[in-house]
Amino acid sequence: VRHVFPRKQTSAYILELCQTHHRPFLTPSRTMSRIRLSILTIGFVSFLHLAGLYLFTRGFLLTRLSLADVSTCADTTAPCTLPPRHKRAIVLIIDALRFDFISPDPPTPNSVYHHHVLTLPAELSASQPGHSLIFDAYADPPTTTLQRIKALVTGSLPTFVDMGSNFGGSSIEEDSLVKQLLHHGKKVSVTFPVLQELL
Amino acid sequence: MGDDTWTTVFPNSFSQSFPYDSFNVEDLHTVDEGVIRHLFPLLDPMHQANETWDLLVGHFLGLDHVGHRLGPEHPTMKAKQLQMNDVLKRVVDNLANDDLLVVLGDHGMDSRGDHGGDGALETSAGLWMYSKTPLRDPALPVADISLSYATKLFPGANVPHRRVQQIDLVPTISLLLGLPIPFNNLGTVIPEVFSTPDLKTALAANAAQVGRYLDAYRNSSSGAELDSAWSTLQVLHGATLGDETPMEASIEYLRAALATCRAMWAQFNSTLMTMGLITLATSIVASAALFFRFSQPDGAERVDDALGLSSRGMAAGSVAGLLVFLVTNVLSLTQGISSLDFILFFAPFFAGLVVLASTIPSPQFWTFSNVTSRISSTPVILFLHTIAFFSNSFTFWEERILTFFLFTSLISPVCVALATPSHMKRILIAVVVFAIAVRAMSVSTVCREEQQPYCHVTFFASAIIAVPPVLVRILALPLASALTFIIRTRLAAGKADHGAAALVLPNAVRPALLGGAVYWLADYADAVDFFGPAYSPLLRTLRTVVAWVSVFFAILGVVASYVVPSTLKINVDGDPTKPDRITVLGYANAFGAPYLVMWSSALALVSLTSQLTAQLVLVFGTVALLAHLEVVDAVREAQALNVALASSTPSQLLNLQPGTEAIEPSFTAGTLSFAEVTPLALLGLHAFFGTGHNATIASIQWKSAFMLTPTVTYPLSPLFVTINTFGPIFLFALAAPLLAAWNVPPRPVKSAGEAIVLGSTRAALALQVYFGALLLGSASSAAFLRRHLMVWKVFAPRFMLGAASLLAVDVALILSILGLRPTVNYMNRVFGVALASHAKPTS
Repeated sequence: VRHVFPRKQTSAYILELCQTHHRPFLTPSRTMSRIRLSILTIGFVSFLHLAGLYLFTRGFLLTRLSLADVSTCADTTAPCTLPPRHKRAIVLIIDALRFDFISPDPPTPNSVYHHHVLTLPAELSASQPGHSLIFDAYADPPTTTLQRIKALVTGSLPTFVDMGSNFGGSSIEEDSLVKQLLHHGKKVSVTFPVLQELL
Repeated sequence: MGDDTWTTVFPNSFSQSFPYDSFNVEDLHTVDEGVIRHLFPLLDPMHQANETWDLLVGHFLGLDHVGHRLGPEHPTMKAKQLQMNDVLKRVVDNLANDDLLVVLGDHGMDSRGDHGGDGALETSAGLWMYSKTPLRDPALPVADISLSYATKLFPGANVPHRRVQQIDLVPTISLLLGLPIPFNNLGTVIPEVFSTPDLKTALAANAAQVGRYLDAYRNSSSGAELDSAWSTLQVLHGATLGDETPMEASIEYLRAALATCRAMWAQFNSTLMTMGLITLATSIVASAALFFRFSQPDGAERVDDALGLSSRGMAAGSVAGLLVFLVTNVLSLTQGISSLDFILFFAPFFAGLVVLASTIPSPQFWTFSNVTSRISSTPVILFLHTIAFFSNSFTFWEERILTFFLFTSLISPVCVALATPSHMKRILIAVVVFAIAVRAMSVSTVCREEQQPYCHVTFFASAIIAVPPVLVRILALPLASALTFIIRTRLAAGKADHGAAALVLPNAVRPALLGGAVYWLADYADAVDFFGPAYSPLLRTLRTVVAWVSVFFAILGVVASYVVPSTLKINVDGDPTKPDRITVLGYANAFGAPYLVMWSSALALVSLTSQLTAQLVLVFGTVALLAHLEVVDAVREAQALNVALASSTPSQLLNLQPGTEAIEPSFTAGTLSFAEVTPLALLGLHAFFGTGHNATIASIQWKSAFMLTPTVTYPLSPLFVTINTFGPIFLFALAAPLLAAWNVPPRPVKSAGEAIVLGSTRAALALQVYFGALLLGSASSAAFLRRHLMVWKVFAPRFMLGAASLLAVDVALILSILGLRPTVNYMNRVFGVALASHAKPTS
């Protein structure tokens, strides 16, 4: 037999054969066992990664203890509430309504697309100052819808960890505006899109 | 799909609710119509529904969707705001005299329309209160309390405006409706809407409620969190008691309580964090030890033994963890650490120690030259990259540092080139191509907030318009088409463009890549109303179809290259049963080429989920990868030549002459060095940043959730967002076996396949070391700097990126070995048995 071994450049492997006879293909088991070892090795290190990550995350991502107590005026001598000034309230949440969208004095130069467009609040504040008030409200981070809605009904500070529950949702066990209304025999009506808010 | 935030948050709380339609960033025009349809009957005094509520909540999502999809600087934003303005006008018209109307944004949006973080634009939400009766009794005097009327200058505005905390609404609405303030509230009543005597009572009630809450929290299991602030709070609280206390005292106490709680809920469990960091450090030491052990001739056997023993270490560690848990629990030494935590700490720790102990090299290893050569190969880039996370500016400028690191990685090949005249041209050309591709990738950036004003957005046409730049739109299709051509040309250089390469690249990868470009061009056309709004539904259908077809072709490519794991062309001369001459084309790259074909199919899938600019970056990334493989191959050849010359053994020299093949294997698992793997890790991260991502929540490209379906679908939508985000890092980790397989011929038969598998394992371990160290660095910095002003803005998001990218890398590496398997198997059969039998000497 004459082997003409290849130059790398031509990359052709040529065998000149005098005699041949076919054999069934065999799989060398040694190489396959190396593949098993390889996956085992990488998997072993991955397991260590997962364990470390789990432990660190449990310590680092914050959780706030939420207390289940509900406010009542019965068990306190301190001032508790006021006589109602309004019979009903309408709360309209316009998602991502930034302050400058309704501000009478938005940043300069103005944007033609989002400044002085939603003008009703500024118009009414100018014409009926005692009836209409505009505020720049600071929304605590994380500025994601689920956290903000929780904050807007409990008055508390949902923590960063809650972000993960955005996908699964989580109910508010804490006292809230809605809970107080229900405790006082009031009715709450909500119109909303069925949303799986990602952000 | 799924349920909405409000009913999730308050199951069974509402007398009525009108859920409809689904969350859909793309549905800009109809998403609010359902709210409007249900809202006005409830407000209509003639309508019976008017009596059915005391609190009415409406949630409009459209404006947020316009922001995410098109950004605030878009005509659709104006149309949406005009629609909202009309809705509010109608609401005001229908308002009863004693109704209170509150309109608010739940958060703001940044200049591109995204949100999630703590930037000034994201945290400044609008709040408007209106009533047909004056908000405050006009007959009574206005309170004059300077402390409460805080103002704030909105970025870019000239007039400071009244600033409140968003949660201040909670006590305000409670008291205006005559309800007790919710127990956990930390807001302060907004003074403007109360008259003086009322305001005094309101603030007293507010302070009393917060006092009760803090008392309850103090007495809870987490009460110790308040230790440091408690005495100050008690003094401030004391000042609010009594009938004649000034209102300022209450406000001061309420604001102090809020500040304390803000700080407190950045409360960490340092024991668990330390345990996690130690485990991560153990994993890095273990993977480094395995990386070195595999380079030894008996490495595989020793590692096999070590892993076998490590299962016993894990068992012992579990027992130890349980015991430690029992002891610490009895002595109540630690808080908040479960038995699982202890087991998950001690089991990996013991297993890591076992692996370390049983992979320590034999005494012969510890020679002076061996040790010094190991020390001289200390991964400087990795070290610098890891400690960079302790600086906030280095962390948010990481994308620029990566370019520098990638250029630094070229120093060593250039030195080899200069020392080896025969290979100088080949190495230098590859180095230059690599550098150009890396530089081209770095052009694309989305700029995070902290980089302003030193960063210019190039990923999009501008910082405020979320469409690809015009040049990118022109180049998208030609470059998607060119990519398969480039890959085939590289393969053809080694005649390895047959078999799977000829089958998969033009018939599966190319259509998938082109489909990706078409999809995003259609997305652009839709976003700018290129054909007018009438074509929007048609474009949507087109996009959905194109996306599905592309996914099909990409998966087809993976499957086909798995089934046909070879790029060889075998010509048989003479009688097929008794051939006298067999020519095998593509022999020299028999392992690398089929793997690259499979990798290209994965590339096509990632490219599909990536926006147009990102697709271009992936093209350059692929060029950089191919150039890097050429550099590695040429440098190895040059070094082998230099060694042979130095040893002056003529037989060895002869082996390297053209036309012959080394009798000894030219590639062993030990040939692969850490420095060769480093550029792969860097390229992965470089591509991550180049494809329009940042270590921030706001940079997640939600658009990719709507590729296969117009609405969110599980699990496809989160899957596509994940592929879009971590795909680039995944891809370059998936390329790890190429460093061991590229241009390694399948001879000598017995050891080539094994050397490639073990070499790939070492490349994988090196990547695990690299990304493990980055995670350790980012996690440590987040832990040590947890009180830093920037922790949630800079360090914590980088830790999350580190964690997610490490997991993506781990998955990619396991898949890479599985992907290598069919090729190794095939080559073993062809060269190990079939051809070897033909070549059996006849003498």
